[in-house]
Amino acid sequence: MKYLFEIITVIALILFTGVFLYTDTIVQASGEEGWGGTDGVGSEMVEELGYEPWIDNSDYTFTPPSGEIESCLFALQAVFGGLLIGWIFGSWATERRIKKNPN
Amino acid sequence: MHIMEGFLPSPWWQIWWILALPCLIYGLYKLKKIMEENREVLPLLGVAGGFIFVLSALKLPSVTGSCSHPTGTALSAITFGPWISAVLGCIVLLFQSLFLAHGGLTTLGANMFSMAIVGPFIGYYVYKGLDKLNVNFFINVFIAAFLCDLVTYCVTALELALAFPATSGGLIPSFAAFLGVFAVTQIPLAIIEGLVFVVIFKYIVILKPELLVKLKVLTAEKMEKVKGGLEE
Repeated sequence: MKYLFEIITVIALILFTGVFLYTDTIVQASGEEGWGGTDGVGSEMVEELGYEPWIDNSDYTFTPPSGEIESCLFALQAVFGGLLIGWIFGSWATERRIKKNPN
Repeated sequence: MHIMEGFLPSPWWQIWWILALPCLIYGLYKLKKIMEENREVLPLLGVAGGFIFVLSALKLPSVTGSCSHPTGTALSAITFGPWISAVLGCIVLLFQSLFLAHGGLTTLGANMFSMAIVGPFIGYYVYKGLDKLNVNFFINVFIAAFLCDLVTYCVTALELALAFPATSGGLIPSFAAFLGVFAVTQIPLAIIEGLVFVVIFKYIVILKPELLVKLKVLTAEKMEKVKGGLEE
């Protein structure tokens, strides 16, 4: 099978999405606010022990002024990585095609 | 897997920095050597860095009601080894701590140690070990990528548990509690990441097999076998 790995990956993604949708209904029904980041959950656990963070990013650097701007920066990060990957894979594919068929 | 800025008290953040710094410096040295000797692997280095950038920017909802992100370190770990992954991971983590307020400069050492050093280190040596045992290349890649991702989160849990042992019982219950947050969420994402890297390696084998041979990921004869298996 030529596309065996791709098919397995897509099936896994569909299963994963299905499980997500199923758990999402449970989370929504429980009335709790779900789907925060694990970073935040871990930090909350530490704060529950009575620990106060002793330094904050805003003490010395830029912090994204809002959630929208933060997701914009995250998207830009992904875009730059994606462009680089696409460009290099694209040139490899072209190189291979030219080698196979010099005309 | 970021430990947020200020969430590691004083002896710990210095300890993780001291452990991470030599790896970073050795990585820079190795990187310089590769750049001098072997310039044709540079595009692959770019791709490896690109995957860390892309995948660690993707926050995916997992099955436990919270979101987490893959690490993307498997490609650089398997091809270039753990030391160069330390450099690439450090660049990404530095970017995130400076511009996105995710992680921070004091916790950068701890975050580097988990994502850019221990994860790739385990992935790399598991790959090498299974390669010696003649495990199928793609199964091997899947296992290595899965471990690169999952081990990162286990180390993060360990770092937090060491800094915050439970008042009753000490380290182990605290470690279990942090594992419950970090590792359980991560298992499905690690499986997906493993599968994604299998597909990526398939395309690298098709497009640029000579790079993998040159980097000693596979010997020339094993590469012939892997390539032959693909074209059926």
